[in-house]
Amino acid sequence: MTLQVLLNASLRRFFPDYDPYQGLPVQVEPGTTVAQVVERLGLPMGEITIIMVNGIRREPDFPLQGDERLGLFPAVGGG
Amino acid sequence: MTPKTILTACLTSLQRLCRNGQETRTAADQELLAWGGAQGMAPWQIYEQALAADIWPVSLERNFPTLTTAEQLQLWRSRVLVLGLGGLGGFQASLLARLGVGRLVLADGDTFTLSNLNRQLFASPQTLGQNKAKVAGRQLNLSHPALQVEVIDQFLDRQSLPGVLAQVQVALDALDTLAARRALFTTARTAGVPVVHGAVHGVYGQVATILPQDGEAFPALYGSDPSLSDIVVGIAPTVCLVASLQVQEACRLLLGWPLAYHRRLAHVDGDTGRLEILPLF
Repeated sequence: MTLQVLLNASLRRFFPDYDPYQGLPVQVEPGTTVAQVVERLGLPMGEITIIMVNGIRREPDFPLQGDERLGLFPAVGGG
Repeated sequence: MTPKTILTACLTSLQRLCRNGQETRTAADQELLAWGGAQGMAPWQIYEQALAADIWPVSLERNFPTLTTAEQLQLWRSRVLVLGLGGLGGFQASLLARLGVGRLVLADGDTFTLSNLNRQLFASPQTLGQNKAKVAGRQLNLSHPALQVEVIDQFLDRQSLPGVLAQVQVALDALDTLAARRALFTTARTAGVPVVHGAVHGVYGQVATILPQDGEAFPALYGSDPSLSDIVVGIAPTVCLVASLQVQEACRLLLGWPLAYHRRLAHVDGDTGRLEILPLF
């Protein structure tokens, strides 16, 4: 089972070759939380304001099955 | 005589307009302004009287029939607050004026600098060092002489916002600090005024509509402990796009059309060209 991690906006800077159409394929065990995936990818949790799992907004402690689409969104604040 | 019959009797430029199977009338702006001026009417009021008499000033007639005459009149009578006249706010103010929103309140305490020129509509070599709201108001009144513009050449805060919000139907967020945004969201909620939020970062952007009954919306957008140590502004096309989405939503709000971004976050992805709509609450 493969998790599809979709990085958005400024989070893409952490992966220079990031393909916004494919996202990042990540293998995770069922029960792994969003926060654990974020940590494994080396992303700063503090920069993530919106977590979407299969189109539903979730919290960092949400446990994943391992085959979802995980969208991560940072704050966008410029004017 | 009613205003309608007075106008109809006096205007030599009055013409019938048939478009898309619908019919209305137009009159030249100069003649309307001259006629109303002779009656002692302010330019804003002349356009109001004309639209109320089913006569479109030619400068607005291409909005017909996308807008009905009643809808254009409603927009003309509306007052909208633009908070910040930099990147987002410059485009917003310009679009609102083109749309025929008749009354704008423009607030910004900042002045134009050279580094604003890559994205801020009213920044030019001639306006460097001048207050952004004042410049925007002056420029808009040149292109739209009947527009009512109130300029506030200072940053609005929790103390000054309520008095301004009490006069407007919608507030547009064109701010660039989280503290100012939080103050806007809180005071608008108390004042019962809808906010169309917008923000940009590079080629990315977002828009969300916040109504007074939504409660505390700031954490839904920025988390409970937000820190944007390093604010990156948008590039011009992204700024223009986000401002445009905000003004289109403001139009829906003012006319009672179904909202596109209420309880939702529209995320603009400038890498893929996609607009993603996320549930916010």
